[in-house]
Amino acid sequence: MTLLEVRNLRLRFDTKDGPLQVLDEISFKLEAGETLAMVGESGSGKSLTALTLMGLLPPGAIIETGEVLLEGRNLLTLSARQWRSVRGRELAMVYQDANSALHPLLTVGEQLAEAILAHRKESPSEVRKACASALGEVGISAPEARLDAYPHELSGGMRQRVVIAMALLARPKVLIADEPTTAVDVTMQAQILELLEHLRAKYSMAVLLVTHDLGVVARAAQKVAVVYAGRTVELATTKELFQTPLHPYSVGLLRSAPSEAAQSMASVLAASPSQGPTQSPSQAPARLFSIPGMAPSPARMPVGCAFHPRCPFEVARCSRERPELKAWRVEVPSNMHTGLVTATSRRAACFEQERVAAAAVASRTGWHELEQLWLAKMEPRT
Amino acid sequence: MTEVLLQVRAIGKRFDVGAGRFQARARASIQALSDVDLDLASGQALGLVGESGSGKSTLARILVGLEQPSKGSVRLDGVELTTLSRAAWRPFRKRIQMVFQDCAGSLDPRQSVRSALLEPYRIHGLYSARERDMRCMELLEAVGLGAEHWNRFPHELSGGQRQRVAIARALALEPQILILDEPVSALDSSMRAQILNLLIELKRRFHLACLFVAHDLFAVQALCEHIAVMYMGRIVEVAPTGALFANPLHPYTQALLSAVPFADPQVEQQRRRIVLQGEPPSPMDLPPGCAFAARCPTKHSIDARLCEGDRPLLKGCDETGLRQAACHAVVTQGSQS
Repeated sequence: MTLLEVRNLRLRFDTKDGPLQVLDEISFKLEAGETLAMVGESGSGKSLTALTLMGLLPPGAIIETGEVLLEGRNLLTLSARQWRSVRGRELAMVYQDANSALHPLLTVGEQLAEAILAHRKESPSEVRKACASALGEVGISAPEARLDAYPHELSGGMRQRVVIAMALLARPKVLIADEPTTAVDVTMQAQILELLEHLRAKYSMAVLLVTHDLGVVARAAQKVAVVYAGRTVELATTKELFQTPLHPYSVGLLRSAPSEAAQSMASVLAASPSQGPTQSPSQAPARLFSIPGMAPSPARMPVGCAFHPRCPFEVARCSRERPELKAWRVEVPSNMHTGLVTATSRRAACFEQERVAAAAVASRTGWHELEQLWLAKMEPRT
Repeated sequence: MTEVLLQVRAIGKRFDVGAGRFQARARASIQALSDVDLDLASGQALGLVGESGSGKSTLARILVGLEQPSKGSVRLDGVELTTLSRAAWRPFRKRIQMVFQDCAGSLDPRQSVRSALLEPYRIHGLYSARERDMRCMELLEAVGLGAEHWNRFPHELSGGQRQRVAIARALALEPQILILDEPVSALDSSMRAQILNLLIELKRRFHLACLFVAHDLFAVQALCEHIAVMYMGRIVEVAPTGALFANPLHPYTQALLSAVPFADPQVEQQRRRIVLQGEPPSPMDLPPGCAFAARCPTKHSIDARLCEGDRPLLKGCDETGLRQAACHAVVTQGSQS
């Protein structure tokens, strides 16, 4: 059985200016021991989905349809009381900002103890032991001594580790990490991702990783859900998505990630460190690609496919009908070098996904043409 | 080589901790910067990267006069800036401008775009009212905004648009030098690319000298010809951007580059990754030798006592002197080959 499944989740806020449809059919599946990344721009509904999964919706949020199934049990029908036994124990969350997730006036030990005592009764000495071992597990040195430290006495990276330790206290089946590395710098990011990976493998925990950084996705996730304007537009394995994106939004997203630089850098780093300094001229900077236009606001959602005003593959149908997220049989090259083509089943919400797939494959060699097409489309509008 | 506009020599900065209204003597001091040298040339951008707390922003603030260095010199066209009085600074403000990370915080919420852009002219008493308006329109256009944004307030703009206004305001006095402190790190990826493209274009158009402070290496790569890597208040490596990415010399730079995740799962699987263990030393109690020694993975390939006891200096590592690194291991390697 699937560990966690989100099915057609729709959520809106009623405001005095009318309803705001913020989630419009979010769907994905998460299996035990796997990391699924949810990617999209800010405002696309990623964090709100995470909060729905934790039963922590802000007041005024109305769930219209959809199910959140944890081992077959629909969490959306739970009472506040029932939620208490699920939250933290079966699903736990790591927030983006470790600073505000920790209470500044309580020691790390007190805060960890609170999380343990919320779920079970234990003697103070046992609780202290459990807290120390939790800190040790996330790689904090001298955990006993750190129990009496206040959050401000720890570095940013250590605070994030404490927050992760806290989330893991009750051994949740699913860990939701909402942008866990956005507030930290690259070296710390590498450590945190390594830690999450280690814990996932050790406890065969499922991880839902909310992020907008495709580098993080490539490093840490096995599967990806691409969301745009509150809707899942593509579901794929990480490898599939990066090789052949099927939704035009995914194509643009991948293209705006700095991967060419990555390629040249990676080939060097993968090899053994080269000997001595090399000379290379400083090159003139080239323009970066970004998808033209802006993500729509939930107050003014386009009719049909929400992406059609920014999409270079738009056809007449796109501004009338909304494409469903469904399984397609597509032929994609399975090996770039031999040109071998295999048919696989993929899920994307686009009428034109075969054209998109073909263009995505072609764009690996001739991106320039697709970029021109994209820019040309936007010109008359701006 | 283009002419050097801004020359920074042996800058050091110490912050005293604990001294305050009720305590006259400082309890401790933090060494935020030590012996920092760098040059900015017109039309060239220098990227300054390093982890948080490495002293990048402090250096940026010293260059625009927001912070006094404890020692060292900053010269603009040969004029020493660090000893200038507030009044004497003013004419130089026209030539050095800064863009901050938090554009929501650097714009007055009660000031319209127009008024924010006119302010620099008012302060410096430049141009007639008509000419000011005309210049402001040109500025708005240069940063990709239009007449419709003229009377808007910051809360009516998106994050990217606010950053554009902040950039326009920094350009109002036609500076020669632009100091950019994490100008894109608060923006999400598509907005980030747009602002970087704008900066690339403006730098070319106005022949600006830029110092780009960031922890995002890809952003730095997009704009800068040269990169300086900082660790614990010191520059540990300087190199042309391409050379630094292709062949990082300092072990810290190697670790930093290997930590950056690439948007390619195949590359991610194959690449050699150096994950640094431990935390950086406390800036209140820096070790006598190399500040990176305790975390350094290559320290053991040479005499570790050298690294722990003797602080390596930034030295040229090739014939041109364009590549510099502060590491005992690198220098040893170079002299052998």
